[in-house]
Amino acid sequence: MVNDLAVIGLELAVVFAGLGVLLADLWLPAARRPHLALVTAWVLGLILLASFGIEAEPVRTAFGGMYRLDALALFFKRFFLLAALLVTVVAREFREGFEAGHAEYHALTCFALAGMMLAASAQHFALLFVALELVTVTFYVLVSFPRRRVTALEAGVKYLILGALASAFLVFGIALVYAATGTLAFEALAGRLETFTGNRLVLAGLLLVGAGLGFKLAAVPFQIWAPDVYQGAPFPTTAFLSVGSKATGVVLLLRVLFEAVPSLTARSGPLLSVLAGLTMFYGVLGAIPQRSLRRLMGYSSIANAGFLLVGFATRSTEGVGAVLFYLAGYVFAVLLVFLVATLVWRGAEADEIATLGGLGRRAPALAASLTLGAASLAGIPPLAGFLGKFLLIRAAVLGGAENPALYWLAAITLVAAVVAIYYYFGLVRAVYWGEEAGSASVGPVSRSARAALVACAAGVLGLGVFPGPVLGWARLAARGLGL
Amino acid sequence: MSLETALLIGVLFGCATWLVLHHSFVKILFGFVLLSNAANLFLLSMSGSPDGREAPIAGQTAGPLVDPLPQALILTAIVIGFGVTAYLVILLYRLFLDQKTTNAAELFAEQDTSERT
Amino acid sequence: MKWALFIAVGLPLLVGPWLGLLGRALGRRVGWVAFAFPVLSTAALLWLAARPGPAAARISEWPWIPSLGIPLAFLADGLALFFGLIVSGMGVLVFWYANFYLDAHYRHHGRFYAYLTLFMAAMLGTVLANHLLLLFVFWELTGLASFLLIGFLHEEEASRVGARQALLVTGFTGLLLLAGILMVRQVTGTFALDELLRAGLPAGAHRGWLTAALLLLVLGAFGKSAQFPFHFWLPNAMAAPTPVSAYLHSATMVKLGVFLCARLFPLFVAHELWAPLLSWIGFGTMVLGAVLALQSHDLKAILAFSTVSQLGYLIGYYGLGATAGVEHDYLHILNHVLYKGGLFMIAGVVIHSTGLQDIRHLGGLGRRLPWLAGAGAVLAATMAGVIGTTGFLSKEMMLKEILEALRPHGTLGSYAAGCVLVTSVIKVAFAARFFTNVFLGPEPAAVKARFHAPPLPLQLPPLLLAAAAIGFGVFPRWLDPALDALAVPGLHRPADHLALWHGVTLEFLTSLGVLVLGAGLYGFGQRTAWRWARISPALRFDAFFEAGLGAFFRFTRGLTRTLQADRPVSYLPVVLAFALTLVGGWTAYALFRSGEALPGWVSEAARGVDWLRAFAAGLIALAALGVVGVRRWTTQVIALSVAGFLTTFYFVLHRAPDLALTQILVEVVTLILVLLLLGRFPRSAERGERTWRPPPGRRLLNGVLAVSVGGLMSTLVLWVNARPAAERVGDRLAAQTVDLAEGTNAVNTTLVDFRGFDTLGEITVLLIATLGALGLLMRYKRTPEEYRQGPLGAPGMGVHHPGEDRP
Repeated sequence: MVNDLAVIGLELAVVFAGLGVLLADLWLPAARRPHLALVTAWVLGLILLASFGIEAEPVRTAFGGMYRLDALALFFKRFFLLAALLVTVVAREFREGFEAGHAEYHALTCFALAGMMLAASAQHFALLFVALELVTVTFYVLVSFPRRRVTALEAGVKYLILGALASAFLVFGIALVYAATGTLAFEALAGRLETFTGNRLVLAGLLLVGAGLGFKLAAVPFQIWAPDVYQGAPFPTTAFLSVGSKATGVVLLLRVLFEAVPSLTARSGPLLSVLAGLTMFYGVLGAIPQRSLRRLMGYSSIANAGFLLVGFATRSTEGVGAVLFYLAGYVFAVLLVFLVATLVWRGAEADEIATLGGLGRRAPALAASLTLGAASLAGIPPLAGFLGKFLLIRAAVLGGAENPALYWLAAITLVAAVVAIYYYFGLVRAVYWGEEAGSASVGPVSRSARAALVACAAGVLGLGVFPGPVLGWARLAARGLGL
Repeated sequence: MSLETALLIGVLFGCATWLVLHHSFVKILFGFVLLSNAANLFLLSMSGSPDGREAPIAGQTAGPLVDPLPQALILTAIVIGFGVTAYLVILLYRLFLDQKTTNAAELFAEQDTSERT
Repeated sequence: MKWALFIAVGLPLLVGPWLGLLGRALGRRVGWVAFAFPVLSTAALLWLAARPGPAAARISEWPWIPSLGIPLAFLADGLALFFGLIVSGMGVLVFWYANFYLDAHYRHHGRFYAYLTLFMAAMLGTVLANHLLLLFVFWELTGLASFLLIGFLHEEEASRVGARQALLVTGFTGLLLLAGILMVRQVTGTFALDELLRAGLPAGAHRGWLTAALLLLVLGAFGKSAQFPFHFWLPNAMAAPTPVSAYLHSATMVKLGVFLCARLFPLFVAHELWAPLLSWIGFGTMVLGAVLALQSHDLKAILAFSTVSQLGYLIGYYGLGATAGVEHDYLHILNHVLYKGGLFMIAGVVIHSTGLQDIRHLGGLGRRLPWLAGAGAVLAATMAGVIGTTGFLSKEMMLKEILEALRPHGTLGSYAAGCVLVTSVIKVAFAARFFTNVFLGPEPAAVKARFHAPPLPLQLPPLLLAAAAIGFGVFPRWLDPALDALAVPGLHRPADHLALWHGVTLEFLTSLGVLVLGAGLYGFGQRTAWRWARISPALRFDAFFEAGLGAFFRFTRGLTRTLQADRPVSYLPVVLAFALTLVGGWTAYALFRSGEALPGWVSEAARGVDWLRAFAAGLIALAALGVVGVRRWTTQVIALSVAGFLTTFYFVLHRAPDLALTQILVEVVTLILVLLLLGRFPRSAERGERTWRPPPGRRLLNGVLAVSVGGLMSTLVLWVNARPAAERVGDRLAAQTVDLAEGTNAVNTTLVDFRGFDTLGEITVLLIATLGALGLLMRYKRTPEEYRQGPLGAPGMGVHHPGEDRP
C-alpha cells in the first residue's frame, strides 16, 4: 500500500498542493492572497522538475495493475504539469475577470490536473471513469467561474449538460464492455479479446466509450459544444480546456485503442481516418468566419483534434509519436495566444479579434508573441506546429505502403493545413494591419507573465528548430504501446 | 436477469430523454435525476440475474454471491451523479437569479447565431 | 568548406534578425551593418566556386534531427553556386541601393534590413540545400520573408492586398511542393538530392507516383515563379519598396521556380509529361506576360509583367531541353538579372526623385539625369535584344535553340517558336516605350514641380549593371570560363562558345526582323498615345482570386451557420441522434448478422421473471411516466422521489444492500435540494413555462428520440442477458474478499481496498462540486434593485437579507 502511494507520488503532491492553496487562502490576510497564484505556479514547477527525476524504466504499477507509470504516462504527466503551470500564470493575469476566489481557481486547476495525471496512467476502466469525472466536474466549475457573467454561467450549463451526457455514454459503454467480457482491466481485456469471437457486444460498448472520449477530444460528431463553451468560459479555462482536457482525451483514447482493444483497433478499417478528415474540415471551415478569438480557438481546437486523429488512424508507432510531439508544440502555441489575449483584454469579457487592431504598434513584443503562436498553430516552418503536422503527414505517408487509404488521409490533411493557414493569417493581419482600436496602450506586463511568454516562445521555436530531445521522448513513449 | 428489469430500464431512459430534451431547465433537471437512476439500474443489470445468488457479503451462506464489481461502480456513479446534480441545481438557481427565466429557449434567445459569426 | 557555407548562409540567418534591435540604436545607419552580410556571402561563395574538386566533396552536413534522418545538408555544386552568386551578388547591389533609397522618410529601418537579410539567407539556403526537406523549409522561409517585405508599407491597402496574395499563392503552392517531395521520398527512399541525382528515378511500377510527384513539384515551381494561372501575384507584390521589388521580384525569388526546374531536369526530363507541361504553360505565360506588360502604364507593372514573361520563357526552355542537357540557360538567367534588376533600380530612382509611377505622366528626365538615362538606354536595349548587349546574345541563342527544337518537338516546337517570336516583338515595343517615355520628350509639369535630384550613389548600381550588360555583350568570351566552370553534368551539355558575331544566319535575320516589327509596334503605340492599352477584365486574375476568396469566406460562413447549434435544446437532439445511429445501427447489424432474434431474447428473459420485482418495476415505471405526465412542479417532484425510493427497494431485491443505503441517502438530499430550488422560483415562472410549448414537429422528434433511446437500452440489456456469462473479475473479487482484504462485505472491500483509488477520486469530485456550489452562492451580491423586488428570496448563505440592510 505504501509502495503504491509512492508510485502515485506526483498525483498526491498535486492534490496536496491544491488542498494547501485552499487552506492557505483561509489563513492568509487578504492582502497577501494574490501571491498564492505564484506559489501555485512555483509548486507545480517544482513537481514538474521532480518528475524528471523519475525513471520510466522499469515500468511500475500500483493498485493491482490499475495504475501504470510508464514512459507514455510520464510524458503526459509532464505535459499536463506544464500546461497547468502556464494556465496558472494566465489565471493570475486574468484576476480582474474573477470577482473573488482566486485561490479556489488555482486549487481547482490542481484537482483537474490530478485527474489528468491519473488518466495518463489509467489501466482500468474504473480508473479511467473516475479520472475523467474528476477532470470533467472540475471543468464544470472552472467554466462558470466568473459568476457575475451570464455568458460564463450559460457556458457552464451547456458544458454540464453535454458533459453529463458524455459521462453517461462512458458509463454505459464500460458497463457493456464488462458485461461482454467480464473484466475492466486493459491488459486482461486485450488478452480476452484475442480469443474472443462473439465480440459484437464489446464493440457496442466501445462505441459508447469512444463517444464519451470523443466529447473530451472535441472530435466529430461530438464537437458541437466546443465553440460555445470556449467562448463563454474565462480565458484561462478556455486555454486549459483546449490543452489539458483535449490531451486527457488523447491519452485515454491511446490507452483504450492500443492497450485495451488492440485487436479490434487493428480491424477498425477506415473509421478513424474518416473521423479525422471530418473533424479537420469541420474545424478549419468553421474557424474562417469567426470574429471572436475564443470562438476561433474553439474551432481551431476541433481542427487540431482532427489533426491528432490522423496519428491515431495510422495505427503505428510513428503516428503516435507524431501525436505526442504535436501536442507538445500545441501547448506552447495555444498558451502563447491565450497569454497575449489575456494581457491585452485583462479579464474583460470582449474578445473581438478586430479590437486587436494596432497591437503591432501599441505593444510590439506582445504582437510578435501572438504572431509566433498563430504561425506555429498554422504550421509555418520552422516552428513546432509545422514539424508536428509534417510528422503526422509523414506517418500517414509511411503507413500508406500498407494501407493506401492513408495516402488520401495525408492529402486531405495537407489541404486542411493550407486552409488553416488562412484563418490564423486573419489573426496576424488584425494585429498588424487592423484599424487602431481600443485603448492606446496595454498595461504593464508582470514578470511572471513575461517569463511565461519567453518560455512559450522558446518552446515554439525550440521544438521546431531543435526537436531532437522532445521527439526522442515522444517516440520512446509511443514505443511503449507496443504497436 | 429478467425481462422486467430490461423493460423498466427502457421506460426510465425513455422518460429521462424526453425530459432532457425540454426547453425548461426544471424539466431538464428532473430528466437528469431520472437518468442517473436509469444509469444505475443499467449498471446493476450487468451483474447478471440475482436469482439463486446472495448479497455480496462473504461467510454468511455457502451459495454463490452476486458480482460485486458493478455494485462498486454504481456506488461511485451515485456519488458523482449526486455531486453533479447538486452543482447543476445551484447553477440553475444562480442563472435564474440573473436571468429571471427558467426557459432555455428564452435564456439563450439573445445569442442569435447570426450575431456570433 | 563548412566555414564558407556557414558564413554564406548561417551568419545572415542567425545574426540577421538582431538587426531589428540594432536598428533602434542606429536608425538609418543600420543599413551599412547589414551591407556586410551580402559582401561576406559573396566572398564565401566565390571562394567555394574557385575550389576544384569532385561533386561528392561538395556536400557538407551538420546533424539536425538525427532521429528523423534530417541533416542540415548542403550541396555546393555549379547550379547552386551560380544561383547563390546571383543572389548574393545582387544582394550587394540591392543593399547598397537600399541604403540610399530608404531615406529618413521611412521608419523601422532595423526591421527592414532584418527582413532583407533573412530573405537573402533563406534564398541561399534554398539553392544550396541538399536535403529536399531543408529545401522546402528554406523555400517557405523565402515566401515568409517576402511577405514581410511586401507588407512593409502596410499602411497602404495595395501593399496589404499584394502581400496577402503573395503569401497565399506561394504558401499554398509551397505545400504542394512538400507533397511532391514526400512522394519522391516514397518512391526512392531518400530525401538527399545528391543521391537522387546520382541514382536517378526508378522506372516501372512507380510511374503513377512519379507523375503525381512531377505535377506537384512543377506546380510548386509555377507558384513561386508566377506562371499561369498564378501569374497575378507578382505585379501586385510590386507595392513593396523598390529595392525589394528589384531584389525579390526580378532578380532572385521568382527565379526559384526556374531553379527548381533546373534541379529536377536531370531527374524528370525523360518523363513524357515534362516537355508538354513546362512548355505549354511556360511559353503561354511568356506571351501573356508580354501582352500584359504592353498594356500596363505603371513603371513597375511593366517590369513585373515582363518578368513573368521572361520566367515563362526560362521554364518553357527547360521543358524543351534535350535529354542530353541544355546549353545556355545560365546566359539567359544572367542576362535577365542584369537588365531587369537594373531597370527596376532605375524605376526606383525615378519614383524616388519624382514620386510618379505612371509612365504617361513622365518624360524628359534624360536632361536632368544623363547618367541614368545612359544606363536606361543600355538596359532597355538589352531587354529588346539590340546587338552589342547580353540581350542580343541571349536572343540569338534563344532563337537558335527554338529553331532547333522545331524538328524534334513537332507541334510543341512550332507553338514555342511562335510564342518566342511574338514575345520578342512585343518586348522591343515596351522596352522602347519604357526608355523614351521616361527619359525623352517634353517634361510634364508634374515632373518639373516634384523633381528633386537623387544622390549619385543611388544611381551607381544600375550603372554597374548596364556596364556589365554591355561589357559581356561585346566581349562574350569573358563569360565562357565562369559559365563552363559552373556547368553541371546531367543538366548541361558542352556548349558552343559564345561570340558576338556568328555571321549572317537565320537567327540574325530573324532578330533583325523582330527589331523592325517591334519598332513598328512602338511607333503605332506612340502615335495612338497607347490609348488602347488597357488590361481586359478577362485577364484580371487577381480580381478573380479576390472574388474567389470572398466567395470561399461566404461559403464557410453559411456552412458554419448551418452546422452550428447554439443552445442545448438544439444540439442535444443532434448528439443523441448521432449516438443512437452509431450504437443502434451497430446493434441492429449485430442482430441481423448473428441470426439471433429479439423475440428469442425476450422469451429467454421472460423465464426469469420474478413477480415481486416485476411489481416494483411496474411501480417505478408508473412514477417515471408520472414525472413526464403531470404538469405541476411539485407533483413532478413527488413522482420523481417516489421513483427514486422505489429504486432503492429494487436494489434490495437485486441483492445490493449497500446500494440501497446510499441511494436512500442521496435521494433524500436531492429531494431537499430540488425542493429548496423550486421554492425560490415564483409561481409566475411555472405558469410562464406552461404557456410556451415547442412546435409539434419538435415534439414529435423528441418523442421519437425518447422512444428509440428507451428501446435501444432495453435491447442492450436483453442482449447482455442472452449472452453466455463470461468469467467475471467480480466473482474473483467476491471469492477473495475475506482472504485478501479481511472483510466480509465484498462491495466495501472492493471500494476501499481493490478500488481505493476510485473512492479518493469520488471524494475529490464531491469536494469540487461543493466548492463550485459555494462559490456560486456566497459570492452573489444583489443590486439594490433586486433587493426591492423582494420575493425572489434570500439566496441564502453569506448574503445579507434585504431587511437587515435597510433600517
